Amino acid sequence: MKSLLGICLFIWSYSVSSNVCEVENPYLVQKVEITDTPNYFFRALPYSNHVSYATDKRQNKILNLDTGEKIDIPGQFDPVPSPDGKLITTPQMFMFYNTEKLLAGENKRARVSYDQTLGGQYQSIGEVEANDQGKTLRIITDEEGITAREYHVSPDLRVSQKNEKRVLCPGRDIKIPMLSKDGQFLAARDMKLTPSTTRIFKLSSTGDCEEVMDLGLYTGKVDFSYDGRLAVFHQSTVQKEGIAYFEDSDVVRDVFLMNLETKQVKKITNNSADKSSYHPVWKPDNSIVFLEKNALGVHSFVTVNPTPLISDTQNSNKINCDFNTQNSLELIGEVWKSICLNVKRDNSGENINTALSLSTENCTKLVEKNWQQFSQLNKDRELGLTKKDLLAACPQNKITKIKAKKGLDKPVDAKKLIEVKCNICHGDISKQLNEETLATNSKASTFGAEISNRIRSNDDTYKMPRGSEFSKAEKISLENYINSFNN
Amino acid sequence: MSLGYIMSFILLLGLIQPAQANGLMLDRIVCEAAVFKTLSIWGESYDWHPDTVDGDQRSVKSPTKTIGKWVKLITDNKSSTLIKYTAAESITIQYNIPDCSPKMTTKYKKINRHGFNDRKLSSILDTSSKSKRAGIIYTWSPFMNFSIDGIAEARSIAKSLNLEFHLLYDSKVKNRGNTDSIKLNSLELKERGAEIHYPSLFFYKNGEIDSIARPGYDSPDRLRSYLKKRMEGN
Repeated sequence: MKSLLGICLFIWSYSVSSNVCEVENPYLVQKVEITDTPNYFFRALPYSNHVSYATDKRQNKILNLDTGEKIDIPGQFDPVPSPDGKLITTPQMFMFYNTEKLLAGENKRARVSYDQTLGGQYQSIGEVEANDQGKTLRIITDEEGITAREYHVSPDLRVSQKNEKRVLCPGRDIKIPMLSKDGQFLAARDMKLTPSTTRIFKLSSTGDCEEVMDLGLYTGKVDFSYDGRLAVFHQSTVQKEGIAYFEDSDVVRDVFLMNLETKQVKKITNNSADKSSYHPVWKPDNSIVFLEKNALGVHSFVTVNPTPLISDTQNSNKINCDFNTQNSLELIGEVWKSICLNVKRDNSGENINTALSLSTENCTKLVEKNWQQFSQLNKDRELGLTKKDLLAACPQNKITKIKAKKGLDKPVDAKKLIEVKCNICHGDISKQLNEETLATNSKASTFGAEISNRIRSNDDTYKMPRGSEFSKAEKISLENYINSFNN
Repeated sequence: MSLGYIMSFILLLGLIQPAQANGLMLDRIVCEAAVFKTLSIWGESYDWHPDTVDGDQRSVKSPTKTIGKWVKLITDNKSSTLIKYTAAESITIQYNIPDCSPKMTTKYKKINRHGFNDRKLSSILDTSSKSKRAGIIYTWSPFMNFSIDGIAEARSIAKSLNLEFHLLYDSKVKNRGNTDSIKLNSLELKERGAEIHYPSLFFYKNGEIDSIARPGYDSPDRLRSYLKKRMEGN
């Protein structure tokens, strides 16, 4: 009987501690699990709660992070919004789309312009001028290292080239360049420099790049905040627990924030083995969105609000609050570490950050269930804290988790498929592939057979779409659509 | 002046110079003397690189002569930590003020013998040293479309330039799709930035490999030009 009771107590204590030990990002606003597999590189639309990305099936999409609704948009790679969010661009045969129309599902009417002469990929966009007549956007791609061109965008979203494209940063070997939102600065790695750490360059009118700052770190792509004062990026880090490295640790990717004025850096995520965070981007409200991949391979878009770090970056590991709250947080962090990590360290900054990493629920549970331990430490150190003080100090994280429902993808619509995937290489072929033109075309049947052969081919030089593949359902839908003209 | 003190001073110079060049000075290393004494005892040759910064905590790291073995120094306002680590074990020594007495922890990890690990890398570099052949290591991820497009291009260019070609995929994914690639399980390559971005490229020649990965897709023309220059020694 005693042993049974012991086992029950053990199970109970384990379940309590394991629940309490779950850590949330202290700045978490929203986390949205998604069912498809996005590319690590994605963008957040600035003034709505949407993200744009390419999937591993090479289909560009926009996801509404509030509702989980996904829509297909044209293109296969990197849909990147302009800083005001009104346009979305895709690289290679460079396209401009009206975001509002894309969101309304009007893909066919969404394209506002294209620039066949701007090649390359990895585009980023800055807004260099705005007045009543419209805006001037500077767009860079990695063509010939780094190439730029300016475009005029009228208030009704007509896009026109303002000048000839030009190569930037001559003499440098620029990699993973990203433009600031005002188009005046560039964050990139110059592989000719030693060390080839990430640097900030100021762009001159002649296209030269003058280095103005060395971040002193090897980072992934940098994203500038909308006011240009802050930067976020991911880095490879080795996870540690207490002072001990390994156990299950591995090289993971974490998100960091840098204040470009003070060069203060703060880690936003604290990933454990097999969990990584990628490609953080700013929103105009100074929140950050990044892509997270967990040990099960599940992807989530995570929104965090690092305002406490931004407002007090000089003392980023100290909380700006009263003495009682500081002591309470320090104690909560210390007890959490002693229970969950079995480590005891007297490092106030780290303890406070640990406490701030707990969800409101877990922090409350920790205090309630372990009040005796808190009480003893409180007494030993003559802190004069009450249980109420500790509970009041628990972080008030507003966590909204929305799991996108499966099956949100709409049934395959062949007309839309052609519009989205075929038009990329074939221009406005969707206009030609309709009943009227095909019914009068004597070659319609051979045309249909050719399409069928190509979409089912494994030969990279023959198959359609190039560099990509239709799903089984898409192939059937497309063939049925084409064959319908022959019947 | 003792030999140990002189060694410490030399090591200190070696440590601070790269940090200064990066604009991220390690202007204060807590328990400096104890830290440098240990570095001296470990007897490695150090080539310090910036690692990460987090608030008051900053770290630098260095490869050693042994492929897959690295040394890291982390310092903040109250402590310094030295770690010597491989994929299989780590020795961590922490020094806290005020007494700076070392606290050592050794941890072991089950080594992953699958995929492209440090032993495989070491073997390739040994062979390259003897054969004087050069080659490239290309890392890709199914979650970065341009890294997939770059596989065939990089392979074809490597072949045309008579370079060895090794194709590795994202260590965080479960399968390699339709490619003949090997999972990236090399701590050495990860510490050299192989996973900061996909694709990434390493060039090696005469047994020497790039100290840091070249991140991002290169168009075929740019890649060919870059590799030609590297083969010529530029």
